[in-house]
Amino acid sequence: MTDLILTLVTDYGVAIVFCVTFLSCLALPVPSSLLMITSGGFAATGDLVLSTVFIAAFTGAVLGDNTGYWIARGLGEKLDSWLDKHPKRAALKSKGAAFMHKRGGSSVFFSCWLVAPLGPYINYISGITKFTWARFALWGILGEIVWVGLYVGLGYTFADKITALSNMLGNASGFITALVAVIGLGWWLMHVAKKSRAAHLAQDTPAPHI
Amino acid sequence: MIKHLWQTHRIALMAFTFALCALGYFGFKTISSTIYWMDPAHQDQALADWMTPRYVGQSYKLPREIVLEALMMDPDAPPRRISIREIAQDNGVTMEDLQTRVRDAAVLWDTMQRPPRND
Repeated sequence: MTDLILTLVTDYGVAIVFCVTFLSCLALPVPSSLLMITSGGFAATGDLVLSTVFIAAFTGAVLGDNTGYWIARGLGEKLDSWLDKHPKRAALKSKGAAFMHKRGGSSVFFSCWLVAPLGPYINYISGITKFTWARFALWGILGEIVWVGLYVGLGYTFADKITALSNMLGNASGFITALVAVIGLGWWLMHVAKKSRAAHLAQDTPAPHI
Repeated sequence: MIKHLWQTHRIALMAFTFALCALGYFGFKTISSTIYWMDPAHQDQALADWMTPRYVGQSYKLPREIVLEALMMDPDAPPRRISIREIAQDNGVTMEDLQTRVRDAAVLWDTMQRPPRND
């Protein structure tokens, strides 16, 4: 799969870069990071033009993010009555919306590049929770500038070590994503455990006689 | 505490355990791949279908004429983006044949670059 997509870049150029970054933002399993590194390498050797690679990858990513957002937003409107029917689902929906309202901008920004494997899902969550589109689009654009700039730039700089570079970056990206998940889930579980312990203590302590 | 969480938040606890395993796995892979690729012996990239002649030149640090000769291409033809796979198909050779030719050319170029020994 990876070899095939990279050969398509050699054969058809930046159009493939555009398509792959677009699809990767919709959670399709395509090797977008490796492809951007390789295209950066091709720009260094003169097989592709650096600015065109950047524009193609960036446009594909931003359009992909927004397509994911609007698909989820359309779906979210249809799901609304189903979510509201059950109190647990309704609570989950309002919790999600509250989280996005508070930390939506930074979540969208960092999910574009630092925890890129989570990116497409944050796009879908943003759409379902009806997170303000202007904020989503702005933070998404800034995040994609970093993502594309970082990977294409590294490929351009280390053109002769692409295999090694993509291998290390792939593992590092997985590590950072897992770290964020461990911290986030760990913090939440601790919070839940503390809350239920406090509730238990309150139940066990007899009410003071007045 | 864990027993209580298991009863009340089973999915979240399972997700946390999974994330913890993934953290260990990717941490180990990141360190081992860094150590592996730091070794100069592992830095040479094998030829792959997607590479272009210019990319091979960059990767093996060879001048244009040497790469074109190793890849059985006409040095006077205008430069264009073509994949190694296509070159192999056009010339009726295998990727292994091209790999051998490029490695031989790299060894030869390396010897040519070394200053003559005065002994």
